[in-house]
Amino acid sequence: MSIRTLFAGALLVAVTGCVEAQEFGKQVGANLLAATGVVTHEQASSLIDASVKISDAVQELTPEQEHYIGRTVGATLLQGYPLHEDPQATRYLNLLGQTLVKVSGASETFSGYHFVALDTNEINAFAAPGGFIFVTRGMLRLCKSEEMVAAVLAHEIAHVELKHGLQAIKTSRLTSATALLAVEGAKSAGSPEFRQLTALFGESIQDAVTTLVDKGYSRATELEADQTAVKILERSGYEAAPLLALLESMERTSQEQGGFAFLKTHPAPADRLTELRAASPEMPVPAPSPEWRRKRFAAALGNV
Amino acid sequence: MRYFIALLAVLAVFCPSLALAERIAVREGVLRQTPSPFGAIKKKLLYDTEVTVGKKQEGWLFITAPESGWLHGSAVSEGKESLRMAPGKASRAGAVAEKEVALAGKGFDRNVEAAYRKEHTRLRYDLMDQVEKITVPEAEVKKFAEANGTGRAR
Repeated sequence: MSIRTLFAGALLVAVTGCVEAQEFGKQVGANLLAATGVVTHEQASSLIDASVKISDAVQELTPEQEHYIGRTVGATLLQGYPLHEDPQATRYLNLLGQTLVKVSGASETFSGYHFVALDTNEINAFAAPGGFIFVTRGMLRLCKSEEMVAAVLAHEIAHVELKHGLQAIKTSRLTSATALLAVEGAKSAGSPEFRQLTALFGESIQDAVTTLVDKGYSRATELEADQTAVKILERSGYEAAPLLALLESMERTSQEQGGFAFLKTHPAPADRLTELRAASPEMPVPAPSPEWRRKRFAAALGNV
Repeated sequence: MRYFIALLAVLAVFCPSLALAERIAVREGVLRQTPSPFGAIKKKLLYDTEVTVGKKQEGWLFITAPESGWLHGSAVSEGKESLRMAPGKASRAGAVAEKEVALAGKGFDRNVEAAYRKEHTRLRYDLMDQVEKITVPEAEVKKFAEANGTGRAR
Protein backbone atom coordinates (compact mmCIF):
# COMPACT_ATOMS: atom_id res chain seq x y z
CA MET A 1 0.00 0.00 0.00
CA SER A 2 1.55 3.29 -1.05
CA ILE A 3 1.79 6.37 1.10
CA ARG A 4 -0.66 8.04 -1.27
CA THR A 5 -3.23 5.33 -0.66
CA LEU A 6 -2.69 5.53 3.08
CA PHE A 7 -3.02 9.28 2.97
CA ALA A 8 -6.17 9.08 0.88
CA GLY A 9 -7.65 6.66 3.40
CA ALA A 10 -6.72 8.88 6.33
CA LEU A 11 -8.16 11.87 4.54
CA LEU A 12 -11.41 10.07 3.86
CA VAL A 13 -11.68 9.06 7.50
CA ALA A 14 -10.93 12.60 8.60
CA VAL A 15 -13.50 14.08 6.25
CA THR A 16 -16.29 11.62 6.90
CA GLY A 17 -15.53 10.96 10.56
CA CYS A 18 -15.88 14.56 11.61
CA VAL A 19 -19.58 14.84 11.13
CA GLU A 20 -19.64 18.58 11.68
CA ALA A 21 -18.36 18.99 8.16
CA GLN A 22 -20.13 21.72 6.29
CA GLU A 23 -20.86 21.76 2.58
CA PHE A 24 -17.78 23.91 2.17
CA GLY A 25 -15.74 21.37 4.01
CA LYS A 26 -17.00 18.55 1.82
CA GLN A 27 -15.88 20.39 -1.26
CA VAL A 28 -12.48 21.09 0.27
CA GLY A 29 -12.22 17.45 1.29
CA ALA A 30 -13.09 16.26 -2.19
CA ASN A 31 -10.53 18.65 -3.70
CA LEU A 32 -7.79 17.57 -1.33
CA LEU A 33 -8.62 13.90 -1.75
CA ALA A 34 -8.52 14.29 -5.50
CA ALA A 35 -5.23 16.19 -5.18
CA THR A 36 -3.55 13.03 -3.88
CA GLY A 37 -3.92 11.64 -7.38
CA VAL A 38 -5.31 8.36 -6.02
CA VAL A 39 -8.86 9.15 -7.10
CA THR A 40 -10.51 11.65 -9.42
CA HIS A 41 -12.50 14.57 -8.04
CA GLU A 42 -15.70 12.83 -9.10
CA GLN A 43 -14.69 9.62 -7.32
CA ALA A 44 -13.68 11.60 -4.23
CA SER A 45 -17.09 13.28 -4.08
CA SER A 46 -18.82 9.92 -4.47
CA LEU A 47 -16.76 8.38 -1.69
CA ILE A 48 -17.57 11.22 0.68
CA ASP A 49 -21.25 11.20 -0.26
CA ALA A 50 -21.52 7.44 0.17
CA SER A 51 -19.86 7.54 3.58
CA VAL A 52 -22.16 10.31 4.77
CA LYS A 53 -25.23 8.43 3.49
CA ILE A 54 -24.38 5.15 5.22
CA SER A 55 -23.48 6.86 8.46
CA ASP A 56 -26.72 8.84 8.49
CA ALA A 57 -28.92 5.96 7.48
CA VAL A 58 -27.68 3.48 10.03
CA GLN A 59 -26.65 5.51 13.03
CA GLU A 60 -27.74 9.05 12.59
CA LEU A 61 -31.51 9.02 12.82
CA THR A 62 -32.56 12.34 14.32
CA PRO A 63 -34.21 12.44 17.76
CA GLU A 64 -37.44 13.44 15.97
CA GLN A 65 -37.42 10.31 13.83
CA GLU A 66 -36.50 8.20 16.83
CA HIS A 67 -39.49 9.71 18.63
CA TYR A 68 -41.95 8.83 15.86
CA ILE A 69 -40.57 5.31 15.60
CA GLY A 70 -40.89 4.98 19.40
CA ARG A 71 -44.46 6.28 19.44
CA THR A 72 -45.58 3.69 16.92
CA VAL A 73 -43.65 0.89 18.64
CA GLY A 74 -45.48 1.92 21.83
CA ALA A 75 -48.86 2.12 20.08
CA THR A 76 -48.28 -1.41 18.78
CA LEU A 77 -47.26 -2.69 22.20
CA LEU A 78 -50.31 -1.12 23.86
CA GLN A 79 -52.62 -3.15 21.64
CA GLY A 80 -51.80 -6.06 23.90
CA TYR A 81 -51.32 -4.38 27.27
CA PRO A 82 -53.68 -2.00 29.05
CA LEU A 83 -52.15 0.88 31.01
CA HIS A 84 -52.18 0.61 34.79
CA GLU A 85 -54.12 3.74 35.67
CA ASP A 86 -52.73 4.64 39.09
CA PRO A 87 -51.69 8.32 39.31
CA GLN A 88 -49.61 7.82 42.45
CA ALA A 89 -47.64 4.91 40.98
CA THR A 90 -47.22 6.76 37.66
CA ARG A 91 -45.93 9.89 39.39
CA TYR A 92 -43.48 7.83 41.46
CA LEU A 93 -42.20 5.93 38.43
CA ASN A 94 -41.65 9.21 36.61
CA LEU A 95 -39.88 10.92 39.52
CA LEU A 96 -37.62 7.92 39.93
CA GLY A 97 -37.17 7.51 36.18
CA GLN A 98 -36.32 11.18 35.59
CA THR A 99 -33.79 11.07 38.46
CA LEU A 100 -32.00 8.32 36.55
CA VAL A 101 -32.45 9.93 33.13
CA LYS A 102 -30.75 13.10 34.39
CA VAL A 103 -27.46 11.25 34.81
CA SER A 104 -27.74 9.07 31.71
CA GLY A 105 -25.80 9.76 28.54
CA ALA A 106 -28.99 10.63 26.65
CA SER A 107 -30.86 12.81 29.10
CA GLU A 108 -32.75 14.70 26.40
CA THR A 109 -34.85 13.00 23.79
CA PHE A 110 -37.26 14.65 21.37
CA SER A 111 -40.23 14.66 23.76
CA GLY A 112 -38.48 13.51 26.93
CA TYR A 113 -38.84 10.21 28.78
CA HIS A 114 -42.18 8.85 29.93
CA PHE A 115 -42.60 5.92 32.32
CA VAL A 116 -45.78 3.88 32.65
CA ALA A 117 -46.93 0.68 34.31
CA LEU A 118 -48.78 -1.94 32.28
CA ASP A 119 -51.73 -3.71 33.84
CA THR A 120 -50.58 -7.30 33.54
CA ASN A 121 -49.17 -9.94 35.84
CA GLU A 122 -46.57 -10.79 33.23
CA ILE A 123 -43.03 -10.05 34.42
CA ASN A 124 -41.56 -7.78 31.78
CA ALA A 125 -40.33 -4.31 30.85
CA PHE A 126 -39.91 -2.60 27.49
CA ALA A 127 -38.11 0.47 26.20
CA ALA A 128 -39.33 1.99 22.94
CA PRO A 129 -36.99 4.36 21.07
CA GLY A 130 -37.17 7.99 22.12
CA GLY A 131 -37.72 7.24 25.81
CA PHE A 132 -41.08 5.51 26.21
CA ILE A 133 -40.61 3.02 29.03
CA PHE A 134 -43.16 0.40 30.03
CA VAL A 135 -42.93 -1.78 33.15
CA THR A 136 -45.50 -4.43 33.96
CA ARG A 137 -47.22 -4.69 37.35
CA GLY A 138 -45.78 -8.21 37.53
CA MET A 139 -42.26 -6.80 37.32
CA LEU A 140 -43.04 -4.07 39.86
CA ARG A 141 -44.37 -6.69 42.29
CA LEU A 142 -41.13 -8.60 41.91
CA CYS A 143 -39.25 -5.48 43.05
CA LYS A 144 -39.07 -5.45 46.83
CA SER A 145 -37.43 -2.03 47.12
CA GLU A 146 -37.03 1.30 45.34
CA GLU A 147 -33.49 0.27 44.50
CA MET A 148 -34.79 -2.71 42.56
CA VAL A 149 -37.29 -0.56 40.63
CA ALA A 150 -34.42 1.83 39.91
CA ALA A 151 -32.42 -1.11 38.52
CA VAL A 152 -35.28 -2.05 36.16
CA LEU A 153 -35.71 1.53 34.93
CA ALA A 154 -31.95 2.09 34.59
CA HIS A 155 -31.70 -1.03 32.40
CA GLU A 156 -34.50 0.24 30.15
CA ILE A 157 -33.04 3.77 30.00
CA ALA A 158 -29.77 2.15 28.94
CA HIS A 159 -31.54 0.49 26.00
CA VAL A 160 -32.75 3.96 24.90
CA GLU A 161 -29.34 5.58 25.44
CA LEU A 162 -27.60 2.84 23.46
CA LYS A 163 -30.28 2.99 20.73
CA HIS A 164 -30.83 -0.75 20.88
CA GLY A 165 -34.40 -0.43 19.58
CA LEU A 166 -33.18 1.39 16.48
CA GLN A 167 -30.39 -1.09 15.95
CA ALA A 168 -33.04 -3.81 15.67
CA ILE A 169 -34.20 -2.18 12.42
CA LYS A 170 -32.68 -3.68 9.30
CA THR A 171 -30.08 -1.32 7.88
CA SER A 172 -31.48 -1.76 4.38
CA ARG A 173 -34.77 -0.15 5.42
CA LEU A 174 -33.02 2.96 6.70
CA THR A 175 -30.73 3.25 3.69
CA SER A 176 -33.76 2.84 1.41
CA ALA A 177 -35.59 5.55 3.35
CA THR A 178 -32.58 7.84 3.03
CA ALA A 179 -32.40 7.22 -0.69
CA LEU A 180 -36.11 7.94 -1.06
CA LEU A 181 -35.80 11.22 0.78
CA ALA A 182 -33.57 12.51 -1.95
CA VAL A 183 -36.60 12.37 -4.23
CA GLU A 184 -38.70 15.51 -4.04
CA GLY A 185 -41.91 13.45 -4.27
CA ALA A 186 -41.20 11.71 -0.96
CA LYS A 187 -42.23 14.89 0.80
CA SER A 188 -45.70 15.00 -0.74
CA ALA A 189 -48.28 12.88 1.05
CA GLY A 190 -49.98 10.56 -1.41
CA SER A 191 -47.05 10.33 -3.83
CA PRO A 192 -45.66 6.86 -4.64
CA GLU A 193 -42.42 7.81 -2.87
CA PHE A 194 -44.29 8.88 0.25
CA ARG A 195 -46.21 5.59 0.22
CA GLN A 196 -42.91 3.73 -0.05
CA LEU A 197 -41.53 5.75 2.85
CA THR A 198 -44.61 4.86 4.92
CA ALA A 199 -44.17 1.19 4.02
CA LEU A 200 -40.51 1.34 5.11
CA PHE A 201 -41.65 2.98 8.36
CA GLY A 202 -44.07 0.09 8.94
CA GLU A 203 -41.38 -2.50 8.24
CA SER A 204 -38.99 -0.69 10.60
CA ILE A 205 -41.63 -0.75 13.35
CA GLN A 206 -42.15 -4.45 12.74
CA ASP A 207 -38.41 -5.10 13.11
CA ALA A 208 -38.29 -3.20 16.40
CA VAL A 209 -41.47 -4.78 17.84
CA THR A 210 -40.43 -8.30 16.84
CA THR A 211 -37.16 -7.84 18.70
CA LEU A 212 -38.81 -6.27 21.74
CA VAL A 213 -41.68 -8.73 22.09
CA ASP A 214 -40.64 -11.96 20.39
CA LYS A 215 -36.97 -12.36 19.62
CA GLY A 216 -35.30 -10.24 22.26
CA TYR A 217 -31.92 -8.58 22.10
CA SER A 218 -28.71 -10.57 21.92
CA ARG A 219 -26.96 -11.59 25.09
CA ALA A 220 -24.19 -9.08 24.35
CA THR A 221 -26.77 -6.28 23.93
CA GLU A 222 -28.41 -7.13 27.27
CA LEU A 223 -25.05 -7.21 29.00
CA GLU A 224 -24.22 -3.83 27.49
CA ALA A 225 -27.52 -2.47 28.88
CA ASP A 226 -26.77 -4.02 32.30
CA GLN A 227 -23.34 -2.41 32.39
CA THR A 228 -24.70 0.98 31.37
CA ALA A 229 -27.46 0.60 33.99
CA VAL A 230 -24.77 0.08 36.64
CA LYS A 231 -23.18 3.40 35.66
CA ILE A 232 -26.53 5.21 35.71
CA LEU A 233 -27.39 3.78 39.14
CA GLU A 234 -24.03 4.73 40.61
CA ARG A 235 -24.20 8.28 39.25
CA SER A 236 -27.71 8.76 40.59
CA GLY A 237 -26.91 7.86 44.18
CA TYR A 238 -28.39 4.36 44.09
CA GLU A 239 -26.25 1.33 44.59
CA ALA A 240 -25.88 -0.89 41.58
CA ALA A 241 -25.98 -4.06 43.66
CA PRO A 242 -29.83 -4.25 43.67
CA LEU A 243 -29.59 -5.03 39.96
CA LEU A 244 -27.93 -8.28 41.04
CA ALA A 245 -30.64 -8.79 43.66
CA LEU A 246 -33.28 -8.24 40.98
CA LEU A 247 -31.66 -10.78 38.67
CA GLU A 248 -31.45 -13.27 41.56
CA SER A 249 -35.14 -12.71 42.30
CA MET A 250 -35.99 -13.25 38.63
CA GLU A 251 -33.92 -16.42 38.58
CA ARG A 252 -35.75 -17.77 41.66
CA THR A 253 -39.14 -16.87 40.18
CA SER A 254 -38.30 -18.49 36.88
CA GLN A 255 -37.37 -21.70 38.68
CA GLU A 256 -40.54 -21.64 40.78
CA GLN A 257 -42.88 -20.74 37.95
CA GLY A 258 -41.10 -22.62 35.18
CA GLY A 259 -40.17 -19.54 33.24
CA PHE A 260 -42.07 -16.40 32.25
CA ALA A 261 -42.50 -14.07 29.29
CA PHE A 262 -39.43 -12.02 30.15
CA LEU A 263 -37.23 -15.08 29.63
CA LYS A 264 -38.48 -15.42 26.07
CA THR A 265 -36.76 -12.15 25.17
CA HIS A 266 -33.92 -12.00 27.69
CA PRO A 267 -30.95 -14.21 28.52
CA ALA A 268 -31.38 -16.35 31.67
CA PRO A 269 -30.99 -14.16 34.78
CA ALA A 270 -28.34 -16.58 36.08
CA ASP A 271 -26.24 -15.96 32.96
CA ARG A 272 -26.68 -12.19 33.25
CA LEU A 273 -25.69 -12.40 36.92
CA THR A 274 -22.53 -14.31 36.07
CA GLU A 275 -21.58 -11.87 33.34
CA LEU A 276 -22.39 -8.79 35.38
CA ARG A 277 -20.44 -10.10 38.37
CA ALA A 278 -17.49 -10.81 36.10
CA ALA A 279 -17.72 -7.30 34.62
CA SER A 280 -18.18 -5.59 38.01
CA PRO A 281 -16.22 -7.68 40.52
CA GLU A 282 -16.10 -4.84 43.05
CA MET A 283 -19.87 -4.57 43.41
CA PRO A 284 -20.71 -4.75 47.13
CA VAL A 285 -23.54 -6.63 48.80
CA PRO A 286 -26.68 -4.41 48.70
CA ALA A 287 -27.12 -2.25 51.80
CA PRO A 288 -30.61 -2.18 53.35
CA SER A 289 -32.89 0.51 51.94
CA PRO A 290 -33.11 3.55 54.25
CA GLU A 291 -36.35 4.03 56.15
CA TRP A 292 -37.45 7.18 54.25
CA ARG A 293 -36.94 5.40 50.94
CA ARG A 294 -38.84 2.31 52.10
CA LYS A 295 -41.72 4.58 53.09
CA ARG A 296 -42.01 6.37 49.75
CA PHE A 297 -41.68 3.08 47.89
CA ALA A 298 -44.45 1.49 49.97
CA ALA A 299 -46.69 4.54 49.62
CA ALA A 300 -46.40 4.54 45.84
CA LEU A 301 -46.13 0.89 44.89
CA GLY A 302 -47.33 -0.90 48.02
CA ASN A 303 -50.56 -1.92 46.31
CA VAL A 304 -49.36 -2.35 42.78
CA MET B 1 5.50 15.89 4.67
CA ARG B 2 3.15 17.74 2.33
CA TYR B 3 0.58 14.98 2.91
CA PHE B 4 0.89 15.44 6.65
CA ILE B 5 0.43 19.20 6.42
CA ALA B 6 -2.57 18.77 4.14
CA LEU B 7 -4.11 16.25 6.57
CA LEU B 8 -3.66 18.68 9.46
CA ALA B 9 -5.31 21.38 7.40
CA VAL B 10 -8.28 19.14 6.69
CA LEU B 11 -8.62 18.16 10.36
CA ALA B 12 -8.55 21.83 11.30
CA VAL B 13 -11.39 22.47 8.88
CA PHE B 14 -13.55 19.55 9.89
CA CYS B 15 -13.01 18.64 13.49
CA PRO B 16 -15.37 19.54 16.29
CA SER B 17 -13.21 21.63 18.58
CA LEU B 18 -14.04 24.73 16.57
CA ALA B 19 -17.16 26.80 17.15
CA LEU B 20 -19.89 25.29 14.99
CA ALA B 21 -23.44 26.10 14.06
CA GLU B 22 -25.75 23.28 15.15
CA ARG B 23 -29.45 22.97 15.78
CA ILE B 24 -31.71 22.03 18.63
CA ALA B 25 -32.88 18.49 17.87
CA VAL B 26 -35.50 18.11 20.61
CA ARG B 27 -38.82 19.91 21.19
CA GLU B 28 -37.30 22.05 23.92
CA GLY B 29 -33.58 22.22 24.58
CA VAL B 30 -32.92 23.38 28.13
CA LEU B 31 -30.21 26.03 28.35
CA ARG B 32 -28.62 26.01 31.80
CA GLN B 33 -26.24 28.28 33.66
CA THR B 34 -23.97 25.40 34.60
CA PRO B 35 -23.16 22.03 32.99
CA SER B 36 -25.22 20.14 35.51
CA PRO B 37 -28.51 18.17 35.28
CA PHE B 38 -30.23 20.55 37.69
CA GLY B 39 -28.31 23.71 36.81
CA ALA B 40 -30.48 26.85 36.84
CA ILE B 41 -32.54 27.12 33.65
CA LYS B 42 -31.75 30.22 31.60
CA LYS B 43 -34.04 29.58 28.69
CA LYS B 44 -35.75 26.86 26.68
CA LEU B 45 -34.69 26.76 23.05
CA LEU B 46 -37.23 25.43 20.60
CA TYR B 47 -36.66 22.66 18.07
CA ASP B 48 -34.52 23.67 15.09
CA THR B 49 -33.11 26.81 16.73
CA GLU B 50 -29.59 27.37 15.46
CA VAL B 51 -26.97 27.44 18.18
CA THR B 52 -23.25 28.14 18.11
CA VAL B 53 -21.32 25.51 19.99
CA GLY B 54 -18.09 26.43 21.70
CA LYS B 55 -16.38 24.14 24.18
CA LYS B 56 -17.53 20.72 25.35
CA GLN B 57 -17.37 19.29 28.83
CA GLU B 58 -18.40 15.80 29.91
CA GLY B 59 -21.36 15.50 27.57
CA TRP B 60 -22.34 19.18 27.86
CA LEU B 61 -21.94 21.86 25.23
CA PHE B 62 -21.28 25.51 25.97
CA ILE B 63 -23.12 27.58 23.41
CA THR B 64 -22.42 31.18 22.66
CA ALA B 65 -25.48 32.02 20.55
CA PRO B 66 -28.37 32.82 20.53
CA GLU B 67 -27.51 33.13 24.22
CA SER B 68 -24.63 31.75 26.22
CA GLY B 69 -25.18 28.76 28.46
CA TRP B 70 -24.92 25.00 28.68
CA LEU B 71 -26.95 22.43 26.76
CA HIS B 72 -26.78 18.69 27.20
CA GLY B 73 -25.19 17.16 24.09
CA SER B 74 -28.23 14.95 23.50
CA ALA B 75 -30.35 18.07 22.83
CA VAL B 76 -28.23 19.12 19.87
CA SER B 77 -28.02 17.47 16.48
CA GLU B 78 -24.26 17.54 16.31
CA GLY B 79 -23.21 16.90 12.77
CA LYS B 80 -26.45 15.56 11.37
CA GLU B 81 -28.00 18.86 10.53
CA SER B 82 -24.80 20.78 10.10
CA LEU B 83 -24.94 19.68 6.48
CA ARG B 84 -28.10 21.70 6.04
CA MET B 85 -28.12 24.14 3.21
CA ALA B 86 -30.68 26.27 1.53
CA PRO B 87 -33.07 23.93 -0.28
CA GLY B 88 -32.67 24.15 -4.00
CA LYS B 89 -29.01 25.05 -3.93
CA ALA B 90 -27.78 23.07 -6.86
CA SER B 91 -24.69 20.95 -6.73
CA ARG B 92 -23.89 17.31 -6.95
CA ALA B 93 -23.12 17.17 -3.27
CA GLY B 94 -26.23 19.24 -2.75
CA ALA B 95 -28.22 16.07 -3.22
CA VAL B 96 -26.78 14.79 0.02
CA ALA B 97 -27.47 18.05 1.78
CA GLU B 98 -31.02 17.80 0.50
CA LYS B 99 -31.25 14.35 2.10
CA GLU B 100 -29.95 15.76 5.34
CA VAL B 101 -32.57 18.49 5.31
CA ALA B 102 -35.17 15.84 4.59
CA LEU B 103 -33.89 13.62 7.38
CA ALA B 104 -33.89 16.52 9.77
CA GLY B 105 -37.38 17.72 9.10
CA LYS B 106 -39.15 15.06 7.06
CA GLY B 107 -38.12 11.42 7.21
CA PHE B 108 -40.13 9.36 9.65
CA ASP B 109 -42.15 12.25 11.00
CA ARG B 110 -45.74 12.99 12.03
CA ASN B 111 -46.91 12.93 8.40
CA VAL B 112 -45.57 9.41 7.99
CA GLU B 113 -47.11 8.46 11.33
CA ALA B 114 -50.47 9.89 10.22
CA ALA B 115 -50.37 7.89 6.97
CA TYR B 116 -49.39 4.71 8.81
CA ARG B 117 -52.08 5.35 11.40
CA LYS B 118 -54.77 5.52 8.72
CA GLU B 119 -53.84 2.02 7.60
CA HIS B 120 -53.50 0.61 11.13
CA THR B 121 -56.52 1.85 13.01
CA ARG B 122 -56.17 -0.64 15.86
CA LEU B 123 -52.86 0.75 17.08
CA ARG B 124 -53.24 2.55 20.40
CA TYR B 125 -51.97 6.01 19.50
CA ASP B 126 -54.67 7.33 21.82
CA LEU B 127 -52.84 5.72 24.74
CA MET B 128 -49.47 6.94 23.46
CA ASP B 129 -50.86 10.49 23.41
CA GLN B 130 -51.81 9.93 27.04
CA VAL B 131 -48.34 8.54 27.86
CA GLU B 132 -46.64 11.49 26.19
CA LYS B 133 -48.53 13.90 28.42
CA ILE B 134 -47.04 12.36 31.56
CA THR B 135 -44.53 14.79 33.01
CA VAL B 136 -43.23 15.69 36.44
CA PRO B 137 -41.95 19.18 37.31
CA GLU B 138 -38.16 19.47 37.42
CA ALA B 139 -38.34 20.94 40.94
CA GLU B 140 -39.96 17.72 42.17
CA VAL B 141 -37.42 15.54 40.38
CA LYS B 142 -34.66 17.62 41.98
CA LYS B 143 -36.18 17.12 45.43
CA PHE B 144 -36.51 13.38 44.78
CA ALA B 145 -32.89 13.19 43.57
CA GLU B 146 -31.55 15.28 46.44
CA ALA B 147 -32.94 12.81 48.90
CA ASN B 148 -30.58 10.27 47.28
CA GLY B 149 -27.67 12.61 47.82
CA THR B 150 -27.56 13.70 44.20
CA GLY B 151 -29.18 16.46 42.21
CA ARG B 152 -27.81 19.46 44.05
CA ALA B 153 -27.47 22.20 41.46
CA ARG B 154 -23.96 23.47 41.05
